Amino acid sequence: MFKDSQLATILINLLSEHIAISFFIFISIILAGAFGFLHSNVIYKRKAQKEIEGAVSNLKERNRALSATYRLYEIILESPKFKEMAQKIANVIPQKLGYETGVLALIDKKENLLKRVAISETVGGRAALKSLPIPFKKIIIPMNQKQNFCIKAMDQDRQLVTHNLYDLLRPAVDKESSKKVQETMGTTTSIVSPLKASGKTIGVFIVSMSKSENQLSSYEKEMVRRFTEGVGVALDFAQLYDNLSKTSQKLKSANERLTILDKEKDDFISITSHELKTPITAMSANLWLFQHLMKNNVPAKQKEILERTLANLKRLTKLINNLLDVSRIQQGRLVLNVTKSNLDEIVKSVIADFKQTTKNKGLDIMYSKEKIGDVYIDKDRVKEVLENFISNAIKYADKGSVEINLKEEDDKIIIKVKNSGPGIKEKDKEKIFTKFGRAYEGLKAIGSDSSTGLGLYISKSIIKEMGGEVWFNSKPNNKTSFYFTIPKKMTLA
Amino acid sequence: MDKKNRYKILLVEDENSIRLAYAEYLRMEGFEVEEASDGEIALKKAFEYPFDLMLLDIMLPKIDGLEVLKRIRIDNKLKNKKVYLLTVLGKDKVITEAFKLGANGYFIKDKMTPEDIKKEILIALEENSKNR
Repeated sequence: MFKDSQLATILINLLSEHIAISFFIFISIILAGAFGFLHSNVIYKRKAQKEIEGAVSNLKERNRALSATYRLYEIILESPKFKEMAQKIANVIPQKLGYETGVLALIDKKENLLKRVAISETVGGRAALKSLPIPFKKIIIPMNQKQNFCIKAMDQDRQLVTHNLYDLLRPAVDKESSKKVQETMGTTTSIVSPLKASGKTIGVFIVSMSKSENQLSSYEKEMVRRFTEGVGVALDFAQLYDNLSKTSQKLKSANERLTILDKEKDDFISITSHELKTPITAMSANLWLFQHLMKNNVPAKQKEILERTLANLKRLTKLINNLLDVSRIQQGRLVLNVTKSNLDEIVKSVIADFKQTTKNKGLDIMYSKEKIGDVYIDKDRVKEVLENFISNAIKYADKGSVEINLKEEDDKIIIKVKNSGPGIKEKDKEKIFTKFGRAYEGLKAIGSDSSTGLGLYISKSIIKEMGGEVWFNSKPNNKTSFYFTIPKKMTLA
Repeated sequence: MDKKNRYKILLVEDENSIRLAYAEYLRMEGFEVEEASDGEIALKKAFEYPFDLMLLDIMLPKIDGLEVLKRIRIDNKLKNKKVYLLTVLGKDKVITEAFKLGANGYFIKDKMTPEDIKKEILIALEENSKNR
């Protein structure tokens, strides 16, 4: 984006001209000397001298242009910020080229206005600021003000010269005030040059000087024009840089906002869950006590109602706990409570809990195992994973059996839960271990089931935290097996 | 029941409906139960009532459960008493903190029935009497 090459070309052009002119002067001197020597003619001498003087003055101007352009190049390198750069650009022309004032004005595309951006920090510039009836930045020219020379210069895409400051300030500043400003500044002539970047006109650069137009060489005008070319590139670069900074700043603050929102969401879930849990716990404990007290004195129907209520309270508690777990997993603060445990006993107790469910569905539940010693695991969490795997297996199996197998392999224990369900379709496979990632068949199968679609996601996170793995094998209309492993020497992640 | 009658439980829980259900059930099961509904009362009773095991809720009015535990553990008379925390799932940090402060264990109210808790209490107390 940065048009380095363009600037370099300007530099080289000026340098090569510089060399060419030096050479020309050198030759001129020799020629002049030779002529004088040969003819001793005063006229020739004068002519030659005049030519030399002209060339020297040209050279001086070019030198100034060169140094101004060089300075411009430096500005681009040292101040990529738009505001700083605009100010430096406004300063450099008057300072380097010896003019009273430099002004930079740019188009505001959204509002279709030409706005003053910077004025040189020179005697002329300060005088202008003091004598202006409105603040400098308030000099705003609508783009349809065709009489204004700034707009005209841009429309005609050429440099314009005026002796009347009003041509540049109208209609923002009236004729009378413009005249006063011009007098205070002590300037006679102003050159307006259109500023271009990437082929588009972006504004104007105005230089004002005490010289009159006929004191101004065509070369000086050319020099200002060339200089503005460089300015356009520099400003383009600065604006890009500014936009980039603004965008990255916006992204940064958006990211900060998201982080805060995420934290608030987690806090909300956490606090709400705890608040919900207290009354649920109270209900569960009291209903349980009621059931316990009534024991065999409750008629079958009432007993059934009571059990349904308790089952739903349990379901509600599980849902809240699942939400809490997800929030914990996302915050990376899943804590394991590892103790020496007997995996066989854990599996048996989970199977016992599901006995009624499998019986109701007419499924067989089978368990086979190798002899396995004690393991160091979070008992409750492993139980939870097993419950999730087994309840899934039951949920998706309409007939046949659910098989659970425990075996030791190298340094790990593999737990397999197999069912004879419809299998998992290819397109659903990716979703299985994600949050709310239920397969389509799952959605159909669950109906009024208590599933939250979070179980396998939580299970995977728990097993990963314990240093194990989870996976499954499934073919549509065939048996599906879910596996998880527990490292024998469990090291806490 | 005779054996259980020896067991005195100091039950600290600010939520009335939870505390009453637990207290009622434990009494039915032959325990002697003293109730406290905030941290201040809990500490007062801890010094007056010769409990065998304290069930201590964490979030309590006036003085919170962790502070109660801390004060019990620095008291010469009480420091060896069994203290089990009552919590709801999702208090990992607090539990870690509680173990540092010398809690003997914790019971998850929303996962365990009063009967589950009773069984665990008995295991803890039997161990206690063995160690005596």
